[in-house]
Amino acid sequence: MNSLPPDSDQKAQDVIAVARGRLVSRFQAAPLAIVLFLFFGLPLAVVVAIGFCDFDLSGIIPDFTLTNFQELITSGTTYALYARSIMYAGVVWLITVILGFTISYFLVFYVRNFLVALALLLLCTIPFWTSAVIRTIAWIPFLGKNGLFNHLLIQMGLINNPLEFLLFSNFAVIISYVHLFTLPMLVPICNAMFQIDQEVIEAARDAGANSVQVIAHVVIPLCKNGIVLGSILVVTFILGDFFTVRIMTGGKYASVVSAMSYEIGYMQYPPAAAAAVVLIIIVVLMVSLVTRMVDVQKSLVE
Amino acid sequence: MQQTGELQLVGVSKRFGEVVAVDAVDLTIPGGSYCCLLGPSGCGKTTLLRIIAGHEMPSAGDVLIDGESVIGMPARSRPTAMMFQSYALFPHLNCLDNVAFSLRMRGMPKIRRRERAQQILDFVRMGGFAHRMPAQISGGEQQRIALARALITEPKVVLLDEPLSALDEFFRVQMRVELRAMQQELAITFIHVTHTNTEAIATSDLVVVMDHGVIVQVDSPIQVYDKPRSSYVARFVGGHNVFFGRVVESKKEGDLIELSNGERLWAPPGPVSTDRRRSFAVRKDCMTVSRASDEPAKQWEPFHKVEGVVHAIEYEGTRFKVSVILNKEEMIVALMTHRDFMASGIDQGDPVVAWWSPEDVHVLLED
Repeated sequence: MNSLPPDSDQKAQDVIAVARGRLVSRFQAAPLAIVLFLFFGLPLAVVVAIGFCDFDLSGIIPDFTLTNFQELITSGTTYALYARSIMYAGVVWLITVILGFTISYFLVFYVRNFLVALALLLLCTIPFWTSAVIRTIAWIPFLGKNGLFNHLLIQMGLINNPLEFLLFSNFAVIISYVHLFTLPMLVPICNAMFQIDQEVIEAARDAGANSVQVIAHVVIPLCKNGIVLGSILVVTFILGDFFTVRIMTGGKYASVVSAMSYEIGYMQYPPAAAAAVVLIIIVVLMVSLVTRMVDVQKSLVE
Repeated sequence: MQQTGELQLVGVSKRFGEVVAVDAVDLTIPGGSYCCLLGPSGCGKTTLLRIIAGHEMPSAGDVLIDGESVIGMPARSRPTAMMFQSYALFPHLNCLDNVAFSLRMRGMPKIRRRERAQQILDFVRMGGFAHRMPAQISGGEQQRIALARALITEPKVVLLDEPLSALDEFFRVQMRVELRAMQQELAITFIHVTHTNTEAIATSDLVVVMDHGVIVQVDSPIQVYDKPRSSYVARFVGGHNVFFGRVVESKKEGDLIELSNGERLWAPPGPVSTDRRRSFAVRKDCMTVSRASDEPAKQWEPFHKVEGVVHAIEYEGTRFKVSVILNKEEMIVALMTHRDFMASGIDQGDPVVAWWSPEDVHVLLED
């Protein structure tokens, strides 16, 4: 016999059902949580821990010291590296955003046919079938002092002496970055633009907007999420790049990450780890600042 | 006062490749009237509306508003405003800024344009929704905002593309009354595209019935409903039973027409001679259905009745809808008053006679 009143019996069953539901959902989330912990959380924790260690020529000495961070923050090199990376990020962002927006606009509002636009978009991805390293290096024979481009200009009689700024320069870095990162900018913008209802554009024209006003007051605001998403991709790629700057400047300049790779090459793990931690903090701050302004999750889900 | 907003279409055609969407349409809509373009989907009514708005270029012909051609004028410069079927509100702007959009495009300062937009919002009874986003309001509310956005430009002609199709029955009836009231208050031309006959008849001054890119009838709602020109209009507007048969005897006072089931019916003189096929119509509510065995059924006159079997009876509250099967394919519908139906005592499956008076026979010009 059950001595409890039926009401509290029901309550007890509810409590059990809720607890069971919670257990089931935790179980369902477990695989991802385990993967994230093992392959992301744990390595990150190790990097942070090593950042506080001491070191000598033979390797890492377990310790807790702030020296690595102190040296990093007080060193002028750090600021120079960041200034250069941020300059690249800024210039490349501006170029890719203009390219990405214009190409998307063309695909969505001029091509109009979704399948043709999709085919053209897929054509843009063909260069991405080779690795980023190869695509970067491929610019060297083209831009070099005796490269194809200089050769062409001399043949055409436009210049007498080969242009030197083409390779191993900021110009070379920016051109290969633009080549690498236009697509990551293009795709989210294109995605956002395809979702704009054609009737909304017509409604704007009907309400008296000219072509420029339609772009400024309707298309750009409605692509905002795509632009922000693309921008986050491009800026984090550039801040995380260790290869392009080194190759395209012929070793004249380093990026934040290539400086770390030098340190790792010299077995100086703790300062490299400290630099990595600082970079992660900066990128996370930037992204969270941007996502606070724009709901990126929404554009990813849609 | 001179009424503005007169719209004239002169030989307007639109071809999409091989397909002719609108075929040499001539139409004059008087200023300040409420006009419905009625027709099934694909009859070219929306294309015609888009041509008037300037969102589509006609392949031939001219569009005049108050006597001035607007061909070659972009949509933004025309004295028209369109309300889209999907409403097409700007999802990134709140209701107030949606309505104020066109004033912003003209460069009106923020305070003044918001003030004006608020007035229009009050006019469409959406004053309290100024700061809501389109995604936060219902379909019916979105529609009012879309209407307000169209009205703020002070257009001479308002173009409504299937404005009520996305609403449920209750709001549809309410909104069509309001649309009509607003049109009368503003005294501007409204052109309303619809495929629903009741909507067209209930709201408009002028009904334009379209079929395959051509206009088949332009008349007042009463004329279109009561005196359809052709069997197409009669069937589409839906108030009539259409009879179709071969003329077996043609006299001065009328024709004797034989239906496919062998029954012979009389109709006033029509457009064709003996042995040709012609049609006529009888209003559904002018038909009476009686049991075949009933004595009072004697009141029917020769050649003004058909025999059949009751297929279905629907009670619509104000009247009964009785469907009678004549032969395998053909079916007619009689709308009977509550009293008449109760007196007739008919039931599903009964052999019956459907009959009408000679003056209720309406001649159709066959298309």
